[in-house]
Order: sequence, then C-alpha cells, then structure tokens
Amino acid sequence: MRVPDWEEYLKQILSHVKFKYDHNHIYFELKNHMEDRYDEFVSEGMEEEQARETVLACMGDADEIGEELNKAHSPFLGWIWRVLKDALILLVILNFLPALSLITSGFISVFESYDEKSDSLLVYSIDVGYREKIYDTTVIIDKILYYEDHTLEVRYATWTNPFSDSIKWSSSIGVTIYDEQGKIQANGNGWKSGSYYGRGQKYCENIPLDATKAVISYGIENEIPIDLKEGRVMANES
Amino acid sequence: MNRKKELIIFVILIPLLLLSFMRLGGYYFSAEDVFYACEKGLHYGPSEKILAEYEFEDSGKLIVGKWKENLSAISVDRAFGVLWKLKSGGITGFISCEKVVTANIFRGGKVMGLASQKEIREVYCRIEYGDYGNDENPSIQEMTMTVDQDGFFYGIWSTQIQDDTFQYIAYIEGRNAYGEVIYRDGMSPEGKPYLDGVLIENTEN
Repeated sequence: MRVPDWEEYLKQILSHVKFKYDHNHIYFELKNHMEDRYDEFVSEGMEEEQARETVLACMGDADEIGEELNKAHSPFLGWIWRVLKDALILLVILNFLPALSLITSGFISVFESYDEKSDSLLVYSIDVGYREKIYDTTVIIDKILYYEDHTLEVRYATWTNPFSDSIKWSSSIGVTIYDEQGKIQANGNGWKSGSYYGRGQKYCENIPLDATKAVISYGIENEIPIDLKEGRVMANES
Repeated sequence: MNRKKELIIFVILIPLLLLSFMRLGGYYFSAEDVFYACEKGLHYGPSEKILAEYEFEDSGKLIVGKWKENLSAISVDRAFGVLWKLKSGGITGFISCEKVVTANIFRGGKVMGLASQKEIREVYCRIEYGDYGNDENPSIQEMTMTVDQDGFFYGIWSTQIQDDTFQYIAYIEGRNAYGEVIYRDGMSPEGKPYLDGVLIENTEN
C-alpha cells in the first residue's frame, strides 16, 4: 500500500509551534496517527485518494491545529521541562557510581563474618550485645572472647546512615583493658570493614584472665565500659 | 503523561537525587559544612568556633576550629565550581592540645597551636630541620607568633621545605604582655630540658 505524503500538511502545523525541541515528537505522533487512520479507511474499502482526503478532513485545519499545539507546547514550560529533564538525567548518571558502591558494600556486608581464631583455645566468651549511637554511627559490641594464649578479642559492628550529613570513615575502635591494679599495657591488632556498615575484630594480647574491665573508645571522647567479670560463659562449661 | 505532571515529578526527584549525590559523594554547599561534616564523621566536635581559614596556593583552604580547648584542622577544596569537598591527600582532624602551649607544624610550612594560659600573648618556637641521615646537626629557624584572644597562634616558618627533610619544634616559649618568658617546653637554648613548663631536674647526679 502506498502511504500518502503528509509532509506539507505537517510542516504547516509545525510552523505554528514555537518550541522547536518538540517538533520531532509532534511530527511523528501526528504522522503515525494519520497513517493509522489512512490504513483503517483503505481496509474498509475506500479508494486511496479518497482515504487521504478523508484523513486530512478528519484532522482539520492545519493552522488551527498548529495554534492549539503551540499552546500545549508552550516554550516557557517547554524549556523548563527540557532543562529539568537534562538535570535529572545528569543526576541519575552522577548517582550511578556512588549508589553502586553503596549497594555493593551493603551486599558484601551481608555475607561478611568474623574470623575464627584457630591458633588458641577459647577460655570464656561474653555475649555483650551492647549498642550505642555515637554521633550518627551506631556502634554494636557483639561479643568478647578470651583465649588460652591471653588474647582478648572484641567483635563489633558499626552502622552509619549513608544519607546522614557526615563524611563517612571506616573508623575502628580502641580497647583499653583494666585489672584490679589499673590499666594494662597491651599490644594488639585488628581489622574493620565498610564505612556505612562494617564489622570489625580487635585483638589485645597479654591480657590476664582476671582482667576486670574493657573500655572501648570510638572517636575522641566516646567510651563504652564493658564489665569483664559479668556474663562470662566458660568454654569448658558450654 | 502530560508535561505539567512530568514537571512535578522532576521537581520532586531532582532535589532527592542531588541530596543523594552530595551525601554519598561527600559534597557540600560551603567549606564550613565540609569542616563540620568531617568532624561529625570522625566522631568529635562540632567546633565551638572557627578560628581561622587559610587559602592554599593551588586550591582550597585549611579551616581551623577550636573544640574543648583542642584544635581541629581540616583541609577542604572546591568541587564542580560551586560545591565543596574534603581536600585529597589526607586530613589532620583532631589535634590534642594537652599542654599549656601546644604547637604543630602543618603542610606548607605552617605552624599553629593553642595557648591555654591567658597571660601568654606571644609564642616563640625554635624549629629544627634537615636531611634524614644528618640529623645530628640540624638547621635551626626561630619564629615568634602573636596569640589571639582565643589562645590561637599561627605562622609560616618556611614555604621552601622539602618533603624529604625532617622538621620538628624543639623548643617553645610562652611570653606575657611584657615579653617575659612565663612558659617553656622542650630543650632551651641554655640546654635545660622543660616539659610543659616544668624544668626536668637532672636525675643522674
């Protein structure tokens, strides 16, 4: 079937639409609509030329349609729409990498687990389950474990809302151990993952079995005291 | 969907996406916002007062605040022309000022510190520096800085210092309004060791 050429008619309509950015969109929408009507008339048994003229008659006066479309596609709203649309696209692109990083780190943290210490036997453990919000970070002290080689281990996690107004760091905790005589000098190491959500383990070496208190520091002046005498579950009892 | 509905959706989505981008990327509208956000992220502050802001030669600036008689120093930089972010290359953050006069050397040969004693109006520093491996005979530079009403002092001792040289403050004096020395810390020119204003007696004799 030969499709009629609507070019002149469509150009006449578009000459009234001042917002040029919409011309393509209007052109193809009208053209498709006219072709659909044309096909409909021809399939109903109308002659091609008659169908073409009927479509044009149904559409109406090109100048009137053009004026109406110009009102609907006002350049003022059109330009605002276009600028905002481009800004939205740019922001979606700019958000892509940070959002991907957020999703990836969240996904990794779901499967992350604490390392099990295998070179020494467990003496006791304390299920601390302590949770405190320090600035915009929630610090969770999960568990304290004490081993035969005099290592004390603190298992902890931190959670910071990714959309809070702070700059996110993957800060680890500090641990100071005390016994009846006072502060114990202890060496140690550890690890901490993630800046939004992350787990961490801190090991303190040469800690005596009768240590009484662990003070966990996070940031500059934020301290969480944990009583090491309470809630001990001895490994040989469990 | 008509254009007006789309515009409403854009007006809702754009601020949300902008906020998301700024929060996830660490971008802020002002240098001071970066400063306070960094302090919060490091779990201290906010500084009660911003004491000084110093422009870097390349771009950005160093902001110094005072929090509970300690200093907070954070470098910030411009981003996208209108936003601010942390300057790359690490931050100093919290500076503990436990002594009566605490002074530190910063990038770019800057010396700054805090004097907690109100009578101290001027701080003198002797800085020793030199090449590693030749630290027995260091070069010496002296500088004197005025203490402001917040106890803060600042000076630039050298902009020519190379990264591969050591530099430290060997001796500090705090002087009152009459120029009298009322505080000493470090090894004095007479060879007497002071620790936070107290002369350390020779225990060998």
